[in-house]
Amino acid sequence: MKFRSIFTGFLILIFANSAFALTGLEIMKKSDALPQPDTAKSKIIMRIHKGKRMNEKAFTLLMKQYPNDEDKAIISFSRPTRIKLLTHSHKGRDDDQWLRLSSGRIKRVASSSKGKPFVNSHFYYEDLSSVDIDDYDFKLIGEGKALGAPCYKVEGVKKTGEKVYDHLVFYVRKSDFFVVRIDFYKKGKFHKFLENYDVKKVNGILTPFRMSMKLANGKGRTDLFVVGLKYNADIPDNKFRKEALR
Amino acid sequence: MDRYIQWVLKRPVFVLVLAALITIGLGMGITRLGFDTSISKFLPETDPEYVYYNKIKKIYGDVDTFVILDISGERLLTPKSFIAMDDLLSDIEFYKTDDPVSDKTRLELFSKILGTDYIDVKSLLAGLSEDPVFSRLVMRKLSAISKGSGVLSSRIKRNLLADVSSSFELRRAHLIDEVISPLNMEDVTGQDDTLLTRRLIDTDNSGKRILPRTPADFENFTKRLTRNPVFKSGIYAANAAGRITDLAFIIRFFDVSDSDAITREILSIVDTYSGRLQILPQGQPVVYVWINNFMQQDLARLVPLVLLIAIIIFFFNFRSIRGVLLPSITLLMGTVWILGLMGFLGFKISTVGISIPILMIAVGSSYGIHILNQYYADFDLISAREKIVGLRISMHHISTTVFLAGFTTVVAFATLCTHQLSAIREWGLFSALGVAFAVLISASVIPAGLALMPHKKDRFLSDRAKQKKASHRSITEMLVRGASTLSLRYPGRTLACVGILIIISLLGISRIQVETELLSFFKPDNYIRTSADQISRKFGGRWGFNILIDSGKADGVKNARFLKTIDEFRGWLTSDKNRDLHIGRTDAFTDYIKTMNMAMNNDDRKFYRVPDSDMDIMDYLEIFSADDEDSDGRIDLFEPYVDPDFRTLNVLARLSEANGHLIGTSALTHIFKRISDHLLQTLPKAYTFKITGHPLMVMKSAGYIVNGQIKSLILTLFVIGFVVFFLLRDFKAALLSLIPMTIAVIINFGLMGWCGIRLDIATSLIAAITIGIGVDDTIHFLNTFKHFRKKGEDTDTAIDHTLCVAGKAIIFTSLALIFGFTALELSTFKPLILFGLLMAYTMVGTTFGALVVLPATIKLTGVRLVRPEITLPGVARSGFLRFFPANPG
Repeated sequence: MKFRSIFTGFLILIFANSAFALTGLEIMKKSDALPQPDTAKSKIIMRIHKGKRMNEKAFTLLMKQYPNDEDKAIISFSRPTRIKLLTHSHKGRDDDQWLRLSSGRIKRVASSSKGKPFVNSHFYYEDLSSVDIDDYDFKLIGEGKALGAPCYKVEGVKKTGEKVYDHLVFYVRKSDFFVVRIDFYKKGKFHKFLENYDVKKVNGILTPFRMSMKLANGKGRTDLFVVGLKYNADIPDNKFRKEALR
Repeated sequence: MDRYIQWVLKRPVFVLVLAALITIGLGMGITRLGFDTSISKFLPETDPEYVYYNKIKKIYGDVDTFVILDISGERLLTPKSFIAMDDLLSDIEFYKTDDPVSDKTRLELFSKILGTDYIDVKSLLAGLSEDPVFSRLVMRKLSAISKGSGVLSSRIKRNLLADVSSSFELRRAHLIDEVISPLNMEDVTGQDDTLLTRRLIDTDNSGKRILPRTPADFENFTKRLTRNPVFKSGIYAANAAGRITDLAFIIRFFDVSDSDAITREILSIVDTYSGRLQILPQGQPVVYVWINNFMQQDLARLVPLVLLIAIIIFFFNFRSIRGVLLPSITLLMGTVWILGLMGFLGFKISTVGISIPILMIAVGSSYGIHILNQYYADFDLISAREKIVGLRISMHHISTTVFLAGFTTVVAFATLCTHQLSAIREWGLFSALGVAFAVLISASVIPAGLALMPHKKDRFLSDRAKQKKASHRSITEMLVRGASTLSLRYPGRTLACVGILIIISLLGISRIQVETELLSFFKPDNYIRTSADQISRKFGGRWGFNILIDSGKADGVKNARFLKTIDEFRGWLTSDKNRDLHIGRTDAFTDYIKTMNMAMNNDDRKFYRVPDSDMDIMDYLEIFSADDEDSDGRIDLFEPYVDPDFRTLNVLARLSEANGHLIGTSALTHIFKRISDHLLQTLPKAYTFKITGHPLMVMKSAGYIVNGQIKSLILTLFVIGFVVFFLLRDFKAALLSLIPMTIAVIINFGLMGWCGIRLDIATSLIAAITIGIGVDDTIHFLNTFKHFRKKGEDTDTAIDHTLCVAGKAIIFTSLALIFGFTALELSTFKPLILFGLLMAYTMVGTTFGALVVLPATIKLTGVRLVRPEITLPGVARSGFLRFFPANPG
């Protein structure tokens, strides 16, 4: 089972049900079972707030789900550079990635640390990868409010693979099991948190149109604005081939 | 003064107990006394360059100062060495970031184990075996407390817990910014069209380093290390054959001014690896720690030595228990008071301040000599009366003299409180306070002690004393006679000779060079200098400076033309034709761009250069993935080299002290000028530059020392002249009083110039001290001379009588000062050694000035000085003649 990546798939919900006495794993399974698109095509504006500066980047994202919980995505930047990043995510092994520079030069990107920022934003590569629910131990640690909604607080601790964070705390909305907030703990400290805003249903799929990854110390944040979105469009497989980067 | 002496003599026990209690109380402050060798003490906070330097440190970090650990040895590339290096790196990285959760668990477990009864070292370490870094920390702390391996006592447990807790506080302080080493360094490679960001030593999923074990592993590691040119002389050094001979750990701090504790911790970690690795620590923070250690050793050695010399002088002078005991106690008390007060007020001893306790003993001993001389001179007078009454008369006279001498010295030292440099200001303040304490204690403890001691002739060694005193008399008589002859029979020739000496000295002054670089404090064979040489040869230098080049616009650093200009400039800095710049290595942002460009071109070395296209640079920056912990817009690796706006680039240039070449103040001046001239000529108009860094501050501080020297000299002479005028109410006397000191100062600087002794932070104080102490002799002379003139004696007779009366006291106190300062010859610091030598020489000069030049001038100019003598409050009934120890008749 895969818990869709924060970035590429957005967090998907399922219908609301009474979940009295649910365990942490059961809550996350319900969240994971929310309707998901087979494909997604979106235009995203990324605003990175660091220090006194704000850097804006724009890119389009094509994503397609494949059997065996594998997916492919291509990110094409339109500013400030024109690099493209093609990712083939696999279950149980490292992702394959290719990079195309603005000059047209293509390089395969070997797997490296997932605990590194993506294009100097506050998102780590780990945050962009699909997460397998089976790789985590979940524990219901209480209830609380996030973005004004009553939520379950579920702690997730990664048990296999590279461990970027000590643990995560998911705020799963009681009403629909949609994850509205995630707290990230690193080196024993509350490091950053992600909040999903402007959540709307698109083709029956709950989708946040604004995501904000904020540092816990308040020193910076990265906002993602979805300015165009189409689910389940017909995207040919060859769009995700290395040759398509040219 | 009379009332105070009366008060003291009435309650001697109370005075002594009070003095003892104050000594004990202030003595506790000595334990709080720290040392501060930082450059901030030698620059005014408002100096624009210093302000800019601090601003730059906030933007780029303290990049020009760092700790470097050079690890070498025949068996460097072996599993054993790498295991040790891995442990060493882990032990240092422990202080980089804290982890509140695991730290709490660690300390709880530690406290629990320590709480066990009859726990021994083996059991303690066994309980911590699953946490090797913490276990080593505990062992390190334990070794510093106890060498035994048996059951830990409660005291050891208590101290161990305190020390370990302190280490965790140090960890929480986040002082280490970055630890760079071959074991944790990341690199970007691009062979076979595959871009790979990797560590030189891979890590497993838990972050643990996978150390090389087999020859193939080491070959692979060597290939990775030597692939990127930026690592050479950065984190490894190789011999001419290309074999790796040294590996380096570089530790950068967030704020080097607060690095003493963390540097000491690192050095203590390094010590524990002495059996496993050959490590040479260096870098500016390490030099600071070593200097602090030397200062502590110097204080511990020199203060007792100077005290001993003072005691010996007391013994030879007085030959009695009271003559040795009472002044010795006052010296000890004075030293404790001033050091304790500094400790309580939170002041730290600087490289200048280290002279304070020695100066206090030297100056304070002269007050003790004056008072006891008076006691022995008035012995019969006291015997003829009731003891307390006799003591009151005797002490009243001399305490006023001591007060006058002390007051002028305090004023002279206090004028340094206006100095621009905080180190000199603090020195002036505490030296002035110290002299005030010495006067107060001498005028209190000695009379009180004499009041309590039986008033009887010291029979012990009385015969020998007579004999010795007779011989002393003959020596002092000879000196006094000589002074009288020179000043009265040959005043013109004497002054002519002095004039020639002054001209020669003035010529020498123009040759004086200023030196403020710390390494110049040490002899060439000192470990600090030899290790600096080694680090310079292998890694380009132990310290550096920043050359900031402004592109003129935000993101201008991302421009290929700009970066190419920077790289050409870096090449110029290290080229063979510019060896006089002594730049051993440069680091800059372009290194990352060049590394990326090489990686994007299949690791082809010819692409280790700035790419031609701006877009390539932009792309590289987008895909260069690394942490930006403080979220300021720059990834942490770039922070030392670019500002958050990517407008200004910092070229970090390391200064090489290879082949024993000391880069002193004049060399720095030359280097900065050459670089500035080159940049002015070659940099495109759109770009601007600025140089800053620790070496520049060293150079700047030299300027302040010279300017401060001139200003403080003029001010001190003016103030002293005014004080003497106020005290003697005679303008001519005020002018005359300046002659001996001015001559001594000129001759001192002349000697420095001709002998190549550089003006540094210690020798720069000589002028002020000379005036402060020298004025005492002048006041003695002038007061006595006035007294005899008032009695109607002609100039010649008055001079002759004055030399007989004041001359002896001046010679004796000068001897105490000369011997006291000579003790500094045993110091570790060259400046202090030279300071001691020059002070001793200058004291001879002031004595000569007071006993020969001053009377010769009076004789030649015919100055009369016959206006009424000044009477201070409380001394109205006594003439100045009575202030002096010897009887003219």
